[in-house]
Amino acid sequence: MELFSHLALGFSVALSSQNLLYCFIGVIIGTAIGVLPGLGPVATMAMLLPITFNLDPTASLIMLAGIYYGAQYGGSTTAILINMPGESSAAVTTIDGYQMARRGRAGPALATAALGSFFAGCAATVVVALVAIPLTRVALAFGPAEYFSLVLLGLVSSVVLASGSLPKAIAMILVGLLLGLVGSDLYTGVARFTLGITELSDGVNFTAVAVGFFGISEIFRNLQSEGKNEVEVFPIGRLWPSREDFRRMTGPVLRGTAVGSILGTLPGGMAVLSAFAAYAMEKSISKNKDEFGKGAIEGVAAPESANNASAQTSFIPMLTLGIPSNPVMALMIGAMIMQGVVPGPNVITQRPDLFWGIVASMWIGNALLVILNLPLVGIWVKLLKVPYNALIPVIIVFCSVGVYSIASAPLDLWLVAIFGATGYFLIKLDFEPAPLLLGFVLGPLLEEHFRRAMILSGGNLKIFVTEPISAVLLLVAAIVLMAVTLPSLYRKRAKVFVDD
Amino acid sequence: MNTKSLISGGVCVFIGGCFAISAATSLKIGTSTNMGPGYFPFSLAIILMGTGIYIAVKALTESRGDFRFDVNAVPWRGLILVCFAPVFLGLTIRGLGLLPSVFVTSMISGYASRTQTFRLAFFVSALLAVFCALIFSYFLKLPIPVIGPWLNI
Repeated sequence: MELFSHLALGFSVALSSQNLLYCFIGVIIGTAIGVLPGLGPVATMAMLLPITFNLDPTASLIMLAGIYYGAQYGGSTTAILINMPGESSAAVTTIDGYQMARRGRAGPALATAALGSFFAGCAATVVVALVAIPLTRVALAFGPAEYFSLVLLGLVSSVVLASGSLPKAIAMILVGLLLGLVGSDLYTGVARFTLGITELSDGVNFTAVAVGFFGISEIFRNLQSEGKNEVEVFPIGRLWPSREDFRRMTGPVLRGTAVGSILGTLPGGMAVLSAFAAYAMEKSISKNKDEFGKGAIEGVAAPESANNASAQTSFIPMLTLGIPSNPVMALMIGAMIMQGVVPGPNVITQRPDLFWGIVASMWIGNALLVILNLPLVGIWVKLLKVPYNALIPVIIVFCSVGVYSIASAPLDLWLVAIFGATGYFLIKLDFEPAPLLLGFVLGPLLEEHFRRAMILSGGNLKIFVTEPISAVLLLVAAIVLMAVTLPSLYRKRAKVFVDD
Repeated sequence: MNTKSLISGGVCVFIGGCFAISAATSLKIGTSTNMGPGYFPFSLAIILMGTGIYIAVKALTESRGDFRFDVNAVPWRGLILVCFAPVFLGLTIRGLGLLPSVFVTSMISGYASRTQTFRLAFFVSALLAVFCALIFSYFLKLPIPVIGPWLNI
């Protein structure tokens, strides 16, 4: 089978000593920042992005991917032990995980989370491997009109699944798109919106945007809630779950993996949403309904499997279509572009080593994570004692030196400061930074396909609805957008994010 | 009237307006058959302004006016120090060199928190400076001097 030769290639790449090392570094960093409240995967990846610029493309993407799914493991540790999600996608785990810890069952809860995540991560990676090639074939047949509509659908879905107000999310996408267009025009070479600054003619530095809006403004958010850092950590006790526990977690893990895998592939699909969906489903079909919220093992197994599965499958649209479905994937796309790899359906054919190497590294990374997280959980717990005061300088210095190292341009650091402050005030006004980052990455792509489609059709906008695939994509986008404005669904959506 | 949304709408109109004016005055807009470099951004800017107006108008009809911009709730000290730290690094990294520049940047940002102690800030900064010199200069081999020309008098 073709798939096996691909996977053999993937493992030969992922098992090279260099890539194995970066996979290991990635999952270690991921677990650490997952455990640390107040430092999420997006901020960390933004911070380390400039450093990966100096690595080989495969190694850097393997490491960044490891940080993302590693954070899913680490986040549950904090959720269970101190009732605080170290990472937003572990928010649901706090409900039953913390209750288990209070009843002296912290060990089995941690083991359930790690084993569920491991199973889900491995199974979802199989989905990535199976779906990638057929999906790429479809995407290769796309013309500019189809691509424009696809990008538009991606942007619309990300808006729908973003928290908060819909018009504000749309506005942030538009700001992101416009920011992405700063620099020389592709067709005429005319400088656009550069304010006469020559450094801007290549566009606004992607890392400055990511670091400013996610790294720096995150610090402000944490400074505001300063002084709420008293933690009480429950003793872990016996780690291994009993036979009864295993029996009860099997179903939820399988269903959670399925839910997470499906939701992860959707544009805008965030790990946190899958976790909520899986938890809600388990609660409604479980025989021990009244135990939920009081330390049901199902309530840990289902969301933990779901969030890791969707973390894994959210790579599908990014790797095969070049469309990021969440801010983390936008950062991965940014990393690819910086490395000179053009994201899109061609990656799999032109750089099979890169593509299959990443896929294979996910299995290796998940295996490493179980080993790191189960026996060594005691070490990670110590990280909770790190004061936030010590973290701020580390974050800022890494962000600054990293961004500076890319182009040696002091201007990029001024942008970091400007974007950081802007980001803080935008968040104060309930504007989310995530859609902005997606827009920023997709801006040039959207314009290019729009202009090509217009040239093809002689300036007739009808091309987007007369091309059948494009029409379907636009129709889906319209339905999604209309569905959110329905009052009943709007209330449900609001509720999901209030719980967050 | 919902003041927060009203301000939000205004911000959108302002940003959209800046881009629209810049595009209209300095770039060729063109037509849909023959698009100039300003066509696509100009359209986006107009849509952004439209969205902003929608947010603002809707805010006028809403009754929740509980938003007050609390100047004291903004962590001003943190905001200024955290924003100044990267700028300082950008200005001094060439002249002072990586090691001293990182140390001072780290000290500046360390004091963003009101509860910072000198011992912790100093300890973290010293460690960070050495660590950065190792990673960036020796491991990644970036062409940044560890000790810069300003200190080599």
